[in-house]
Amino acid sequence: MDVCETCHQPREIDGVQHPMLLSATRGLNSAPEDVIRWHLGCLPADVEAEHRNQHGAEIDAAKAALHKGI
Amino acid sequence: MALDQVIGNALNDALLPNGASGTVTVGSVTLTLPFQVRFQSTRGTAGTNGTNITGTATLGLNGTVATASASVANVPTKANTGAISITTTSSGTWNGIEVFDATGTPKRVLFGPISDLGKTFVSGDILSIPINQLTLTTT
Repeated sequence: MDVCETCHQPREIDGVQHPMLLSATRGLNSAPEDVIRWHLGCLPADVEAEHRNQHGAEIDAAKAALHKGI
Repeated sequence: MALDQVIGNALNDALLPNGASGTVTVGSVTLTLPFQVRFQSTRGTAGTNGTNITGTATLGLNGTVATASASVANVPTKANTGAISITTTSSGTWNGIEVFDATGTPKRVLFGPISDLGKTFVSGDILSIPINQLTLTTT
């Protein structure tokens, strides 16, 4: 099962589907490797920083949804 | 035989320059900048383009491409200097990466695979190539 690298939970938590970020660990001219994935609300700081400029609103919305009720 | 390091760097820069506009000519082929990255559900082959992921917009190389340089292994390499990512609008599997020029009928320049594992996505997911992971190596 594809789980979040941070929280080790699947996409669905308590019946709610959460968007994920899939990150290819290798690009062209390299042997295919695994794809790492996180819930958008669980991104490590360096990954969040790398994507915040383009996807900040999506990340903030995912954080709010993921931590709702906690 | 292998390419000399200086020649390898020159070839990398000639094939994948950093410009945001204009054209570059490689032999008999003229390419229009900027280059675009697309992600595929079915991988391309040497002679056939892959199948683009539905709903994915054409992507700019928003991570600019580094100037060619020799790595510690003396391999001339270029790589992206920022994440290249898109938000999906459909569900499917992510299998490939291709780079095109910006002509009306885009010319494919590079193609490559991603993992055989962990590639399923749904609408709203972000697919990303991290910094330094989209590489062009000439040896």
